[in-house]
Amino acid sequence: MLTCRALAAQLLDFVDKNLGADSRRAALRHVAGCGGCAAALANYRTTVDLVRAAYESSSGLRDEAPVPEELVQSILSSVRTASDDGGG
Amino acid sequence: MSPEGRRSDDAARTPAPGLPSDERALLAALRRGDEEAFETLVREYGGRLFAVARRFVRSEEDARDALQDAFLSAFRSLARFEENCRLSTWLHRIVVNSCLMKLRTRRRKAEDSIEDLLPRFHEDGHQAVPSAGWEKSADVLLESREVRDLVRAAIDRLPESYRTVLMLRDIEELDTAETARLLDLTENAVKIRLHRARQALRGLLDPSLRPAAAC
Repeated sequence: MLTCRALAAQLLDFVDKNLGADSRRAALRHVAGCGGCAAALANYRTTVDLVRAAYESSSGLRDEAPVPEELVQSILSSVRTASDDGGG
Repeated sequence: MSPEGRRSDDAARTPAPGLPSDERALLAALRRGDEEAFETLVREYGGRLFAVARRFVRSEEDARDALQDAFLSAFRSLARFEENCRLSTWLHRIVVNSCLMKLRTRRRKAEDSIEDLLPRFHEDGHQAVPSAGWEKSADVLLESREVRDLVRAAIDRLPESYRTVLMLRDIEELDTAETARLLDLTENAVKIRLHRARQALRGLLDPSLRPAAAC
């Protein structure tokens, strides 16, 4: 019988669908009879979804940070210097 | 402007037909040493790459350094770009590398342990503090700017070696093998760190997202 501790150790593979068929069945059996682990699994999934979207805007686009003009000029200057020095 | 290797046969290399036409034209101009093309590259891709640097290294000064180092590195590597991926993907890898190097030079103090953030279990293997399901789904939670800020703040509280793996795998979307290569870890070590980082993060978010205790 799978324990809560053993199930917790398998959550990454469970969520990523990397568990073998027998292990997956055992995990599902445990979750069906354990409210705490069912909640832990749901919260783990939600955590992954929250992390993946944490740096997106509400429209689902990745954040961009405007590059300050002096940084643009500094980058171009450093590349010019590298070029003058013989291509880096 | 003449990137390393431009004067060799690489100068005549034609970008692969797999690249979109605008990227092929830009790449060809870059390889000719066209200064305006490099400025276009910086202005067109810089915003997204600067955001990557800022979320990785967190200090504005380090992010600026990382971005500058990345573009310089890209310039020096133009001849070696094999065109088996989009320019944006190639630049993304370079800026991630630049950030990791910056983090390595900054990592001086000992990390806090992650153990206190992980779920606890009784000797018989049962949860010491049974989990309670969060009330709202990720889709609903993500409508709130406050929740996004909460998640970012929680990510920043992770010990650096765990935060880095989480960033690479779940946010920058690198696969396990590439993450392992970049961090000089085994793939199994990456999986373990990612799992522990997610578990710790769940613990950090739980007090804010679990249903309010019944009176």
